[in-house]
Formats: sequence, structure tokens, C-alpha cells
Amino acid sequence: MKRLISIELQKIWKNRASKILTIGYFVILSFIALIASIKFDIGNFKIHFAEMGIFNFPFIWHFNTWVASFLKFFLAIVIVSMMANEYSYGTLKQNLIDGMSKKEFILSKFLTVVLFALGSTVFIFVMSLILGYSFSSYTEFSIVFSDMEYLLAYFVKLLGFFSFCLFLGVLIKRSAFAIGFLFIWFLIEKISYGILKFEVFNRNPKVDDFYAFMPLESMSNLVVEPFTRLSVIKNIQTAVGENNIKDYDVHFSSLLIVLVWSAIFIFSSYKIIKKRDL
Amino acid sequence: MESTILSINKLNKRYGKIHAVKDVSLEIHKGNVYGILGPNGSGKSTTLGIVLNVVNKTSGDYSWFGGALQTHEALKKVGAIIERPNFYPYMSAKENLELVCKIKGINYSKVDEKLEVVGLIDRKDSKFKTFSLGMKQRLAIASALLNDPEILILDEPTNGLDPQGIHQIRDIIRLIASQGTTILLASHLLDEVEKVCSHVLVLRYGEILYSGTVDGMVAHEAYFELQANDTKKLVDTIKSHPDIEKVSETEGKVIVHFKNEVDAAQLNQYLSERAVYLNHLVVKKLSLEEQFLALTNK
Repeated sequence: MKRLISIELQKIWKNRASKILTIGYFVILSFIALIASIKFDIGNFKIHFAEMGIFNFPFIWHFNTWVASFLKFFLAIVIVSMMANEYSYGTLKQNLIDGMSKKEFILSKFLTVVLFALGSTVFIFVMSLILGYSFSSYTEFSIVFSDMEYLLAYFVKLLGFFSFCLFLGVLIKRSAFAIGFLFIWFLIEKISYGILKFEVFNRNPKVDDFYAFMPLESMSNLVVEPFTRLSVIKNIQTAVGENNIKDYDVHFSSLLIVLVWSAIFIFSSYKIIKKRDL
Repeated sequence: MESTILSINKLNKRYGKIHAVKDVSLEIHKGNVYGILGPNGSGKSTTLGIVLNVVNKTSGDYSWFGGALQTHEALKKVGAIIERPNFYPYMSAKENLELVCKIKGINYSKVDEKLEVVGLIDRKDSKFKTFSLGMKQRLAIASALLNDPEILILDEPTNGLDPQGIHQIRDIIRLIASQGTTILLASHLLDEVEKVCSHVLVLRYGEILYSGTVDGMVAHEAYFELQANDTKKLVDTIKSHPDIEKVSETEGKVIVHFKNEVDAAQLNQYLSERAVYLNHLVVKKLSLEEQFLALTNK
């Protein structure tokens, strides 16, 4: 396993574009901390994000994992191109001739995906811990380490998304087309959802249940948006009379759906490589 | 008994309607230098692709080293270059070879040594994308030699190279062959095969036309070139020879093919006994090229 990871990391790390994107990804992740310094002073109306409670434990786990997951596209590009390059350089063929099995090849890519997801999760964990201890109103141990399931959900979300990217890279062979297809797939899910939900089935909640099984929708369901959970926003909502009870928890079923998708993507990638004449 | 490195048994490959490889069987023994000859599109590369684990076979079997190892494990003991050199353009020569070491599970100690063999040691820190085609091909050979392979497989190693490049590659191949490494060389360049190989396999449209030693192929079809004052009488007499296969006339000379081996002295005696006296008798062997054209044009 160490051998496979070391092979794959050499391929990524020696490539300047991939290296810059990876470093850029982690640098920008750490910019989440800058949200703390956002302050608006408009007359009597003052907004200071850090004081609004977004960095309070345990809410910070939810907030940071949700914000951080927007940046996953950086690594998605790295992953798609690491696969597409193997085709265009002819090195997939060469790796196999040099004595790598097709299984090892996919495994090395999958391990990299896991490593990226794990690295991001650990990074977010450490950063949130630091931010939380600096700004949180509560620093009791039991509060700090509650709601940790958001980190697990974040990890699974990245794992699923990167596996999807890897699969597209294997299937489509060209990075630009694979990323284009990813975007088209995103639109297909969203538009078909809109049509089914609001035109065909007249806001039937069954449509939501069905779409919870779609790959991208299931990933985004893992960590739902945290803003309406803030007490400030909640107060405004009650003030305008909207009483929306939203479920912010991480559900075991969503985790399971995304894990099953990841398994399908990785297994299909292996099947494609196995069946194709290279 | 020399040990078998690769045995192929009735291998077939179809791409849809095209039958690219038909019932190819082959045994590679240790220490020999094999050539696979065939025009472009005759199934050479496909056959090699199958045993190298990059093309899926339709039917048939092959086994490396007597079947003791799985294909990908066996390939760690094989050095192969196919069609064009495939490396990561953004890595240096040295880094590319180190990556191959990692894949093959060997340490880096041979990297410099093999770069030396192919004359690239001065350029080891240059990126692969800056190399000329000849240098890329030499790097591919260095990469194939990294593990001191039991067998070296070369598919069209001199394709697209300039005369110097071809010469360098041939020197390297000859050097490796002289060290006793088994080599399998696919080529459509006949003199290349004739100069280096001891055994040869001729393919056309995916079928084996000839399989055996180079000498056997060349010696098999010897023919006679004869001339006598009375050409008509010569032709009539020779036609009555019991082993005759074919007689033809070109430029005043009579070309005679026999079914079985006939010695020049025997033939001379046979004719003189029938009062035909020759003023020209030459035993001609087909060159590999003529032989190859004769085989592939049938």
C-alpha cells in the first residue's frame, strides 16, 4: 500500500499544475479563518461574524465543513487530470507493462482519493479547533467534541465526490470533457429535480426521497447549509413569521448512500480498465 | 533443456469483424533472440499487447515462466518497449526511471548504471519532454533494462529514428544480446531481424506463415540458376528429373526449384549423364527479404 501511494504521489507532486492546485487548495481552506475578521459597521447596525456565533463549538464543525466543501473543485481537477493524463501520456499502458496489475492501478488512484479526503478532513479539524478556541464562547471539552459527525460526513462527501471524478476520468479519458460532463450531470440532476418536483408531481415530497439517491444530491445532503441555524437568523425568521423546522443532522442513511456510490464508481472504474484494450 | 520463458497457445483476438490474431502459437526459450516479422497490421503488436497485459485476448492461452507467476508479477521480470516511448513528460529521465523502479519493486541502484548504458547519463536531470525521439527511445530501453530482465521485448524499436538513432539502438540491442539476454524483437525491417535474430516468426493477417530458425527459413528454399548452350534441351531434360518442382526462364538463364534437397554435384552429374553440359551453375539462397516477400505474397 505504501508503494502504491508513493507511486501516485510522485506522479502528482512532480506535476507543477497539480502541485500548485493542491497547495492552493489548502491555502484557500485556511482562508476560512479570515471570515472571522469580516465586520460591517453601518450606523448602528453592526455585523461581526466572529461574534455572531459562527465559530462557537459545536456549531463550528457544521459551518466549517459546509464552507470547506465548496473548495473541493480544486482537488477534483487534480484527480480528473491525474487519470486523464495516464491515457494521454500512454503511461497507463506503460505502468501495466512494467508490472502493475490493473487492480493495483485503480487501487493506487483510490488510495490517493482517500488520502485527499482524509487530508482535507484533518486540516479542517485542526483549523476549526484553533478557530473555535480563539472565538468560541464555550470551550468545555464535552461541548468542543460534540457534533463530530459533521467531520465524518465531510470526509464521506469528499470521498464520494472524488470517486465520481476519478470514474469520469477513467470513462471519458480527457480532463476537460470529464469536468464538463461533471457540470452537465450537476445540471441534469438539478433541472430534472425542478421539473419533476414542481411541474410533474406537484411538490410531492416523494420526489425528494427519490433524489436523495442521486449521486450529487446525496453528497450535498450530507452537510446541509448551516446559516438558517444561526440564532440571529432564526430570530429574524420568527420575526417575519416563518417557522421552518429544518433537519440539520447528519443521517446514517445519507452516509450509506454516498458510500455505496463511491463503491460503485471505484468498482466500475476497475471494470472499465479491465475490459478496455489499451 | 533450455527453460521456457513464454509459451503462447492458439491465441486469438478479434476487434469486431477484424480477426487481428489467428491461432498464434509460440514458445520462447531462454537465451535465443527471436524476431517477429510481418507487414504493418499483421498482428505483431496485438500479440505482444496481449502477453503484456494491455490487450484482452478473445481466446487461447499464454503463460510466463511456465505459468508459475501471475501475468503482472511475471512482467516485473520482463523489460518491454512498445511502439513509442511512454513516460511522464514533466518528470526528468531519472525521476521517470525511479518511478519504474517503484512499480517493479526494486531499489534505485540501477538507475544511473542503465542511463550510462544508453548514453543518457549527462541528461538524467532533463525533463522527458525536452528529449529528441532517439533519446526517448533510448530512455525506454534503459527503463526496460532496469530490472536486468529475463527477456527483453522490443516492438519496432527503430521506428521513426534517423540513421544515427537506428545505429545506436542496434548497437545497444546487439550488446544486450551478447550478454545472453533473451530478446523478442518485432519489426518489419528485415535486415534488422536477419542481423540480430536466431529465430523468426512470420505473421500476415494475424496468421503464422513461418516459425523456426532464421537459417532454416533462408536455407529451406535454395534454387539453381543454370545455363547451357542448348537451352531447350536443358529445360526438357531437367523437367524429367524426379524431384522437380518448378522451372522458369529469365534472361537466358534457367531457374530450377526442387521439391527436396538436391546437391549441385548430383545435379551436374544427372545432366551430364543425359548429355547436357552446363556453362553456368549457381546455387542461390533466397535472402530473408525475398523469402519474406515470397511468404507474404502467397
